[in-house]
Amino acid sequence: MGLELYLDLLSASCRAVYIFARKNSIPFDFQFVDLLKGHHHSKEYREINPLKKLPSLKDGKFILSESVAILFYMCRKYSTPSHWYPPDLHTRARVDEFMAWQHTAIQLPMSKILWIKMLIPMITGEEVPAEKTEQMLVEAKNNMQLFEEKFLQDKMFITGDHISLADLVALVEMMQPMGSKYNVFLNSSKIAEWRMRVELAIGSGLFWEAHDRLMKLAEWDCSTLDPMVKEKICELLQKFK
Amino acid sequence: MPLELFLDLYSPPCRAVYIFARKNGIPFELRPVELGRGEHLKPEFLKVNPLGKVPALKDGNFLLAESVAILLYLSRKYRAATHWYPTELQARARVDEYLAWQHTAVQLPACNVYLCKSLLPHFSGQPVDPVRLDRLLGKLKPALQHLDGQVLATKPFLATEQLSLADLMAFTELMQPTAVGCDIFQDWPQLAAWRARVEAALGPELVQDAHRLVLQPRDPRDAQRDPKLAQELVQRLLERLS
Repeated sequence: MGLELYLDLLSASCRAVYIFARKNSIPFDFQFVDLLKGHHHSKEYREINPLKKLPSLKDGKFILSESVAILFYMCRKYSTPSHWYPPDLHTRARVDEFMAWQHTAIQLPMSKILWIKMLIPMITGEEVPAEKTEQMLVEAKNNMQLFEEKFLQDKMFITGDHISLADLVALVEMMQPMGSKYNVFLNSSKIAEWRMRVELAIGSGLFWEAHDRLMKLAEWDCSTLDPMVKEKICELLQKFK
Repeated sequence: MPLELFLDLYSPPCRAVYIFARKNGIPFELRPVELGRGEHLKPEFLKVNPLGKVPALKDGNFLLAESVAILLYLSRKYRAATHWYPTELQARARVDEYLAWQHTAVQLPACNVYLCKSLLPHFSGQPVDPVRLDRLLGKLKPALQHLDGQVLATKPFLATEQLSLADLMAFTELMQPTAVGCDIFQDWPQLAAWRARVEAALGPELVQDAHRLVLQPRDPRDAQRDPKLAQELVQRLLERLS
């Protein structure tokens, strides 16, 4: 049995793992775990990951969660080109620094934008109060500014001249609001240019293929939504009120 | 110029960095940053870490933020013993897995319990809200259940058979609510046993030293020093904890 990756490309973390594996020609079986149908709560998947989160990696008997850990694992096991996770002490530290910061500074706010602007209204029929929405957008904007000033600066990519895991993770996360047609790249031409460079370094075909499900989210028929997932989303709405 | 570590020992990630440096005999100068006085938001500190957070490291001209990145940097530069960050592929992955997961699963909810139990009452002058505290403890419960019931069921430490960076981060994080009177270990026997193991492996004196500040009750006069700052802080805390 080869490498198995449990993914739903709706999730930014899954897209990072998928793109990295495909770009580096790492052979794997794509195990689709449909978040919209609540399959991450299934008995089968809970045996893979009791925390019910995506992505997961299964390599023989070894099961691993957390996209950052999975990316590092694949880098090492498959000896991918060193620009992805440079060996130089300072450069590597810069990647580690971003990978740590992004959990709460980028991933969380970007994901919340998708929820607030689209998933919650679509599923519950109710809008999140404008004040909360505004708060969320301001937080995301401020962190994008920090990203530009501290991590990107005037370089082509976060570590300098070459794409690394940090750029990949940053971009897939910043793409998340696009699912609700909200484009965070309009705020800064520097970031918009960086976005293009990262897309080209990955390959536009692979990049857009990975983002297809996200981009089509607005067309999704939410009457097929798993009732348990619907319940959780209604709970989420209460938190924002 | 020696290594400088910008720390507030009230902060768990700062304690992790502090304990690691001391345990590994890494020479450094401690640059205190008092979060309670808003020093992390002042221009002088923002020059060191524009992200406005502690811990931060300054090694000559090299500046670094984020405790996980700092711990990995120190491990590599000072060639720490391999149990901290194992070289074997799967063992290392387990440490990475914990260090990634903990940001939102442990650090966030544990910090919120601490804010509710200690910082908010301190700055607002109001007693602890038991309903809010209960709700926040509830948010931490899934992580504790997972660590106690799944992770520690098969091994003595979080990632492997030996103490690693994962245990160090988890320890200082879980000590945060515990130090201010919310003993989160009491319902979880595997976790309690693990805590004793980690404390023994790190050295009780070093652990005590690092936790000295957070174990002391706060002086109520500190909150009155800058009433405007206190009010702003209370406002932000209430938003965060709602």
